[in-house]
Amino acid sequence: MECERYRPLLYLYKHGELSERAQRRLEVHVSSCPRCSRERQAIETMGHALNRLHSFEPAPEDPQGLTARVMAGVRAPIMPHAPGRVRGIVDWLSAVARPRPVRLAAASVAVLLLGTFLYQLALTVDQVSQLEEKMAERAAPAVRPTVEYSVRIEDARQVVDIDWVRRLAGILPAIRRDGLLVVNGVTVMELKEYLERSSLSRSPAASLPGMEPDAIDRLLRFLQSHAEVNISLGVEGV
Amino acid sequence: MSDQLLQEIIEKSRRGDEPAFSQLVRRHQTYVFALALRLLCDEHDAEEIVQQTFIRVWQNLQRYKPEQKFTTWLYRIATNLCLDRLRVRSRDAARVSSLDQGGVRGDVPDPRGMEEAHSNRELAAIVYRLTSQLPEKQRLVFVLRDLQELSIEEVVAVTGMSVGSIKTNLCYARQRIREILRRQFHVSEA
Repeated sequence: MECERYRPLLYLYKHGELSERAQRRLEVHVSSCPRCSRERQAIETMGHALNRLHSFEPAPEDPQGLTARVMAGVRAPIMPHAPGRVRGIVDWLSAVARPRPVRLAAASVAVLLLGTFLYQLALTVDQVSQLEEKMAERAAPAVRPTVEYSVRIEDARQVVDIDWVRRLAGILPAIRRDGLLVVNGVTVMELKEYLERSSLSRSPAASLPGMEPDAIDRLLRFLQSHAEVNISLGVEGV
Repeated sequence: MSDQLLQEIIEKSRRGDEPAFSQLVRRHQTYVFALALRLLCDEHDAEEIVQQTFIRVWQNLQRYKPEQKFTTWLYRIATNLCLDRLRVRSRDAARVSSLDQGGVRGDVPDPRGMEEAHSNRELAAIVYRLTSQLPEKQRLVFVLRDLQELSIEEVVAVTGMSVGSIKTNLCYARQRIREILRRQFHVSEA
């Protein structure tokens, strides 16, 4: 029982990797236990065998050539010199592309999934661009106050068109506290001055054209769940 | 190379001085190569790791903190790249199979005994036989501590593992290597 407890420590003994206390206790045990004493000797023999591995110090065969290749890679990193993770993906794709039925099927699925993902990505970006253009078109000639509202969630960016902005402005009193817009408990910016000038601020929410109670609720919930909200307000000509 | 000179070279490299960086590469590439060869047991892969490591160093020198030992930072980058490579290999059953059959890259003979290595290939073949069956962490700590002769503190800094975990894995690794030495290399313990 004692031996079983001490035996693993024998592998750390010679290298000085034990605490002083553990080492002292081990030495006391080994000095009175022939089995563990033999075991310690056997482990030391293993150490001597491994020492032979230190007699040869590996080195690149052509150090100058290796330095030159490193510097070439530094100047223009290319795929074979890509970081390990990228290289890993490349290696994996190469392996998948080998002409074996299962791998071919896996590759087809991967390509299909990748294609779908890229298509969705392009669609989203396209939609956002369209919305931005639409917003710019509507905002530019307006005489009334303009409001831009954007929500940033990590790298994704959602832009809400001017109608949404009007709805937002309409419900501002509902989430306004002491003239400050409060989103998810965080004060975003002072709106008092704008709201006092804006005719929208005086409009009862329910009277705004095209506004639906469900839409207001959705918008409120959306605002409350995203702390990182950027609202920029401006009054044209002011 | 003194610490002060090393810091000057690093500072110059940080500012985009390629000759200074080339000096840094020349000074440390053998270190990285030896580590990669012992971990990957393949000369070609080890050279690729050297290249990838220094490219990553060049790209991330701004993040290097001078209070940290440069070689530890360098080792950490190289080790991570080696582990990535090992993981890719372990997913590639065909490649593992070819390594098992013919030794490293299929053209290095199996070492019959624990003779001294006289070349990179011989050393790689011996280390491969010793470590290829070890789990990743055991292989890593064994190579860093017993073959690269890093201190426990350096192994902590390079791997991010705790001292306890390193010692436990070393213990298991040495036990298994003892078995391999006895059975495959016929090392007598008498």
